[in-house]
Amino acid sequence: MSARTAALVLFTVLVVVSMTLTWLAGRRTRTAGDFWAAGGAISPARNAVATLGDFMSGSALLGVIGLMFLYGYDALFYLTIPLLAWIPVMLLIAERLRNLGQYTLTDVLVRRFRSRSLRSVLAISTLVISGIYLLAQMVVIGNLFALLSGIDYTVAIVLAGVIMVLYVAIGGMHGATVIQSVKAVLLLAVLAGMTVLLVIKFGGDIGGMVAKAVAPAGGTDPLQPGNLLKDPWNMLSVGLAATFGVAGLPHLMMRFFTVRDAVHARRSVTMTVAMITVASILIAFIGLGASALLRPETRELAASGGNLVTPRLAEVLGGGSGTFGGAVTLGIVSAIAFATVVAVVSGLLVNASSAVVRDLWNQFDRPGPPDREVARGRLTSVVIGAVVVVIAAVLGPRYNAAVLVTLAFGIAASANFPVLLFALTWRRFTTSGAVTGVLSGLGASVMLMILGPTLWPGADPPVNLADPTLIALPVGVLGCVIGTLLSRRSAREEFDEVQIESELGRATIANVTGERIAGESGTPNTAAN
Amino acid sequence: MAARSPYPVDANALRLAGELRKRRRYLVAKLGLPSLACYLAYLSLVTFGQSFLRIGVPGGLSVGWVLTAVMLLLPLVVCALFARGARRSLDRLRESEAGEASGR
Repeated sequence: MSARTAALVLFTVLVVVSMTLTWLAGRRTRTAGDFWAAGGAISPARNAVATLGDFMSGSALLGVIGLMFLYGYDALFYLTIPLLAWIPVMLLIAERLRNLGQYTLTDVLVRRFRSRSLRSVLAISTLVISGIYLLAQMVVIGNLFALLSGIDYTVAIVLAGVIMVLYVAIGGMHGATVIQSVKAVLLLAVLAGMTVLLVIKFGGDIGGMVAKAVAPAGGTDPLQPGNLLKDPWNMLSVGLAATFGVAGLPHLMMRFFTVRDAVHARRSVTMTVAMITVASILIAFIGLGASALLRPETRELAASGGNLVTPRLAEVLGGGSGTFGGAVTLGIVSAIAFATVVAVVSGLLVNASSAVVRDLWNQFDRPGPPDREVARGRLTSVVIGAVVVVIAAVLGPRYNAAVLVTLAFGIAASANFPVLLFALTWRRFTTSGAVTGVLSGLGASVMLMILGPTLWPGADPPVNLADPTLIALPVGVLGCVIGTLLSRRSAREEFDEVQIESELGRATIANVTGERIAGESGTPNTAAN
Repeated sequence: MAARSPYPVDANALRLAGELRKRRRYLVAKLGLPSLACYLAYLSLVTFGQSFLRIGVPGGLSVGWVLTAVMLLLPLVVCALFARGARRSLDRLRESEAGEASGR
């Protein structure tokens, strides 16, 4: 059996099984709350697994291992900083977000200001962030599927686009959670399996593997920092993006609304962080293993931006090219990587659709019965999926997924994070400040991203900053501050109300005050809108 | 568009929210400030102190790798400690208030 056949058979099995699970889960979707937030009925453990699935996309499995192979130490930065970003999420945001939100991050921000214009600009920001993130995943899918099947890159992403749209249209958030959970377990299993194979390959001599991995090669010393991000300001910019971007990523924060209450949200974060830590350590180890084993193939592997290092390493660990073991291991890893990306893309698509339907479409045309909003969600998923496939086809396969994902982090950090932070903590903060903050952060980050070296088509980009956050984040903060200071002071009571509700949650408030909350039915925030 | 909040901001809720906020601030300061210091030190070293990170340690690696390993474990430790503190400090208060209210 060839590697291609093995991979395609495994991939088909994975798609059929996960599609069936999605359909079974999707049968529970009756209302908009079910479609967007799984009715708040996901347990903390399942939500943690699904969050791991959302967080560790194809960019982690393929992109970071590829970067580690190509540039050594600098790639660790892409593991540690996003992980450190979970500390402020846990300490400052998770519980308060769950207490205030309904289905999306936008719901939380609009909870304080009740502004249509804010809802609209946040929807645009969410679409841009999810769009870049989706593009990163599509690049991985195109590369992988072209490798596996031998078909054209464009055909590969069209096929992947059809599969991701089907997942979301059939299952909504219930379905996305199921496939995220399955995929996260498979991802951890692949990482653990490759680690074991590496240890066996080196006869248990991990020190020997590390020594071989960090041996300087081709003028690059992988042990030392500065191979990928040579400019310290670039490194600082990527660091800021990864730190503040996590809290601004709508598809990740949306996960807090799928659990019952704030306590479950906190439990979910703790478990998520534990799993991400384990996965990160395994990824770093596998990256070192790839450096030790694949150094002679650097030029070929660099052509795909490093995205194909993981499948190639799997083939080598299974016995090498042309062997049955090599074919099987390449097939397994590629199929799971493919499934990983499709799963992440499904979660992103739910999020992007929710921004369009809930924050734009429903504002201008009331959805009426709940099933009409679900129908709108399905239709929007199809349209967004088609647009992303076209853009990914135009961009082509040359981008590293981890680098593209970091750009999405940068936009989230610049446009969403300052507004979220000020909305929760600054009494004087006004609607104008929030709208100005989102627009200035979004505009600056997108502009710098287009003019920067990652996306600029020529060899001499106008801006030399690889990630826009170093400039765009202060611009977003300034936008919030200036917009607020130049506008009329907002009502103090609303801030107090948000503070109380973010601390207590509506269910606790009902218990303490003895009030009955309208529409309360196990999910504390279902009546906020 | 969102409607007005359906609950009254009464004295009990205000008092409980204030107490919870006070306790949360203590927890956040206790765990967050050391974490912030670690984060800033790490970010500064990675961006502007690369010569320090290049210093070798026994085993063939460098200070940078050891520091990275520590930073990989830091979030897990902080989140676990926060979860424990929040369970003891915040959840108990919420439960006792809810119990008192149901007794009333």
